[in-house]
Amino acid sequence: MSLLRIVAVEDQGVVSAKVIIPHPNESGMRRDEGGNIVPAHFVQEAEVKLNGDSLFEMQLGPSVSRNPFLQYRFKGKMGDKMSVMCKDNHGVVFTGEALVK
Amino acid sequence: MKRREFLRGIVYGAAAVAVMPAYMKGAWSTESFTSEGFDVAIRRALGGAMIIDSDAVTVTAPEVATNSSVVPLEVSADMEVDQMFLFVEKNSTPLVYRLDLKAGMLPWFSIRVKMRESSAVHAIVRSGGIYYRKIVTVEVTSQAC
Repeated sequence: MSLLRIVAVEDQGVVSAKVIIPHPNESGMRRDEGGNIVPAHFVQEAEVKLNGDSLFEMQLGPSVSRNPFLQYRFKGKMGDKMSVMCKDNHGVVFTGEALVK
Repeated sequence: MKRREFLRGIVYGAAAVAVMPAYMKGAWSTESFTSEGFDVAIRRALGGAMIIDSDAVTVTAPEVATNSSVVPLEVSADMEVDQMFLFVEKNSTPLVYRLDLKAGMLPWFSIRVKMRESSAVHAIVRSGGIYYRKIVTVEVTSQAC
């Protein structure tokens, strides 16, 4: 399906990372124009690894906005490999990776 | 003989069922992401542990959000942290996320959330086995679900 957009930039030993997950992230509470509930369809889990070691694990609820936009910071350096894995409530997995700039 | 094979089948079947949920469902906690209200949500997510209000936890949020479907909420802490939680008290599902931080990860996280109405936002971090909290209020001028 859709590709993750990932950027990670290091400054003085601290990496600032941004991840956008293109996803409708429907909460299951919204109604469409016809008044029908749009079924829940959202990202539930994410894990980020740095050079193969887990950096964080995350569980997300339906309150997260459409196209989830995650920003976080960690200790790292230019050239480190950051990989991102996430999974929605349908069990669809999205993965991506980027080198720290 | 047939009876034995049948029984063996039952044993293997039971083993598969026992292993599957963890693999299929992952770590997502249906209990914590409850829609039974904020009090239930926070009790389930933190297991009823005591929470200390602290200015060492910072929440950066707009005081007034003009687009309630995209409210940026940034949480940081001036301490070593191994867990972070974010709750929007009045949302149908109050728990926004639970984050488990591993080695190298810094206590700084930002995400954009939907807010049903003006609400208190609770950021909770765990440090040394103790939970610390900061509450801010975000007013919304339009509705989102």
